[in-house]
Amino acid sequence: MPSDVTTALGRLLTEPALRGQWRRDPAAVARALEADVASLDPDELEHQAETLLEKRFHEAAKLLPRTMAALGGRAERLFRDHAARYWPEGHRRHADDAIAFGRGLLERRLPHSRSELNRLRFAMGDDRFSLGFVDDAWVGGRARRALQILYRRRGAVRSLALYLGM
Amino acid sequence: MRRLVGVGYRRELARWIAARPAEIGCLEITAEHFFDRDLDAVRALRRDYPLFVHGLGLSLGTPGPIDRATLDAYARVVEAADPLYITEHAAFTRTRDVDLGHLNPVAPTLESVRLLADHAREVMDRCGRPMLLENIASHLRLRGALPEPEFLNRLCDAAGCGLLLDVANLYVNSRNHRFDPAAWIDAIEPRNVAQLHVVGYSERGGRWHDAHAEPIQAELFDLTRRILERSPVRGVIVERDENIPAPEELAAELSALEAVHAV
Repeated sequence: MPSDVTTALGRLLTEPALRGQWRRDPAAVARALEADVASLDPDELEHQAETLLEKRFHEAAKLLPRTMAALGGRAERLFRDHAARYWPEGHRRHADDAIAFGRGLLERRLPHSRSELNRLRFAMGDDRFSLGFVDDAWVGGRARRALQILYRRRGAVRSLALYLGM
Repeated sequence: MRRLVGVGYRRELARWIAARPAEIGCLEITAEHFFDRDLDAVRALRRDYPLFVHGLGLSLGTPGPIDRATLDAYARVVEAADPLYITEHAAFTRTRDVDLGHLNPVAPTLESVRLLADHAREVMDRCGRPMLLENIASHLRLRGALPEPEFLNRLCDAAGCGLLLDVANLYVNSRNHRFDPAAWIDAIEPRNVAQLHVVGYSERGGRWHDAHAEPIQAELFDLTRRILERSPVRGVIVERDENIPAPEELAAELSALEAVHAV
């Protein structure tokens, strides 16, 4: 039945532990999922799951380039940890994904770009104006502490950074 | 009937597109990119170009009703665009539990044909436009009774829709799953193919990908020519999403596709 296969595939593609069980005993997992997924090719399934994650990471990296640069070699592993716990929904999913990832970094006090995250959150919200202190505003070719001012003009997000010389 | 060659609308290309270069004969807009935007932007594009509206998130292969909010938003973009065709994928992006965010294959069975056809007819009824369904690239193949070309032929018949044939997706699948793409094309009912997507494929680690990041390679021009010799294709869209080249480079690619048309 397509309904069973679609739902079962969704779980197999998003739950690494379930894929592990399926690799060990595909018939048992297929019975548990009540779907005809026992005959899938293990490598193909893994490639498909990997592709979904790669695409999410790629889109998040486009939205948070400075954050990813700040994380360096840890960026992909940290994103995968985040991605295993959270699947965004809807047409704003890439931005929601990037914001949730950034929020997790903030909470865990891991490297991130506060000004970049502020800008993305502002862009996805409805506020017309936002103010906040950041320590990584890009001023004069380097990151500085500044007052970040975000606003909308003709539908586009604009930002100003008032450099305080601190 | 004049065939149209154009590009997928991307913000990076907006200035070039607004200048109405001779090489761009039509545009494809991605519906989801305009869900949160003022639709006057779509109406402005419509004034300058024939449009195709392409969907990513209707998830026609998901059993159960189509997500109402997504269909309403899609229909609003269609109304503003007044397109030649509306398009989506013969695939699913969502299940009842999770939004996977990207395209996944449906089993090539008669049940899937019925499900996709029912959903495609619902979208056509809602939008009042003819619809084309696109073949996807997928690392994963599902078992089913029907070879993919027969599955797509039956789907077009059952839904009363046409085919948006993605040449790169076909090529990528043919490499990853080891089949002859020319034979695949020959098995497709020619009258079904109304639009093409073309973009270069990517290869890494012995796997082929539809990254939408490369110039069109010679093998893809050959496959495009084969399709155009057989089918009444109305539009050919270059679908770059990454490494978007300078306008002159893209213009040269469009001219090369025009030359394929002329053959």
